[in-house]
Amino acid sequence: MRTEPLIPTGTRAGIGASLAIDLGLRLTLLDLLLRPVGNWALRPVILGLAVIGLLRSGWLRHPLFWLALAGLTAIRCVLAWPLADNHAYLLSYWCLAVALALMTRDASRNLAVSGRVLIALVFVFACLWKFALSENYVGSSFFQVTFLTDPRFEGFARVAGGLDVATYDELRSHLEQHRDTPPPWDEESVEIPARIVSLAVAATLWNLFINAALAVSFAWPGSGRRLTSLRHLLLLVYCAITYAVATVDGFGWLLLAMGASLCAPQMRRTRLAYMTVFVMVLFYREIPWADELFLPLFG
Amino acid sequence: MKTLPDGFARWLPPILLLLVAGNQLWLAHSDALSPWSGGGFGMFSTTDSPAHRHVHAFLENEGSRRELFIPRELYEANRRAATLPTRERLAGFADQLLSSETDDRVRWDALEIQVWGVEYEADSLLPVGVLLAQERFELAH
Repeated sequence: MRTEPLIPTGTRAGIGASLAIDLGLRLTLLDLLLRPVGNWALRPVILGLAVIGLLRSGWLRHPLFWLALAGLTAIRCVLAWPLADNHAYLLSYWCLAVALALMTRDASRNLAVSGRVLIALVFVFACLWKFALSENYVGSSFFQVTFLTDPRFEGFARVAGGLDVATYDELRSHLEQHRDTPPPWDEESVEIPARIVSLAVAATLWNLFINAALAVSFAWPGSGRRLTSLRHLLLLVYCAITYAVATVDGFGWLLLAMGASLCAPQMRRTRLAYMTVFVMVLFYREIPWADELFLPLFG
Repeated sequence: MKTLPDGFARWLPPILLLLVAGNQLWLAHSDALSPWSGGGFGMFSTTDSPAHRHVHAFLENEGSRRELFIPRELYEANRRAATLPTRERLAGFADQLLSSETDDRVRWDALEIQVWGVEYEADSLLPVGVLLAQERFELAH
């Protein structure tokens, strides 16, 4: 595929601009390799494109390449309707944003704007659900239930909550009952341990804060140095902490790829930070730190 | 390749996100779509996830009512029905269930499908079943 670089690479500014975009685009493709998506028909095509894009710069910066990925990932969402996770949709929007930006005169700047707005909207809607529409988030019951029933959180909940296997299983069984018939039932009450309640309250407060901070900082117009630094800091902290506990690595990697694309050419340390957290999320996925490191100590 | 206007390139993806998320909000309100699904970024905000929903299917006639076992091969269809329990989707699921039903000794008049969610009492976390959708389909003979 012959391409002409839309970003002039001969100048120092051009080299910096293309590097800034390249990292975000490569991290996006790495996300697709590490967390393959799609059914039996789509997956090999998406994987193949991801490999080619990583190996050939011409493809990496070609709009048709990203339009193809946008189309394929959108088809994936349609076929999976209504089961696709949120980041499946975000991936499709992001690939489209990349494709469209690469068709403009200033791809770096336009991708930074659309990326920022996409991230802002993600967290605005997340806040809408958490703060206003959910009946059990603010009161911390969501996290109490999640820590005790979602297998992805079991290791963390048992370590941080100080629960042995028998207690954990008893609590989970209590919460997973199907009470489909009208009352009266056998009112078997189970006391939720105080540490789990405290953990849930802390998780609730932290997530309300960080989601709101991300929504506000990314939605706030402007690109001043302090605001930009705050955005990157919040996003990096969010990803570093959240995906240590909630193993939804595909979403974390995608957010990190988008954040990396927002970096101005001179922000080398920030780009390095994005790469570091990207690798951290990989370690979180591959090393069940709660189960293997801490549970044997605490029983 | 032609260059695009900056505004179009910047704003089309966010507009698409808004449209899909807005649709998700509407479906969650009108058709009991699980907040975890549909592209509205409601994951990890509520216990009303597809994993906390379940489906019951009952065959009925004048004299009796029998619950159908949902076979493994209908697991995905079951999840889709539970996630967005519209009448159309439950009707499709009903057809699949009937096709998988092998016991034809009894003549059944109707198939009822119920989709249940769960809420938790604030202090004790006692789970309470919530009927999200219920549809009855008359069976032709």
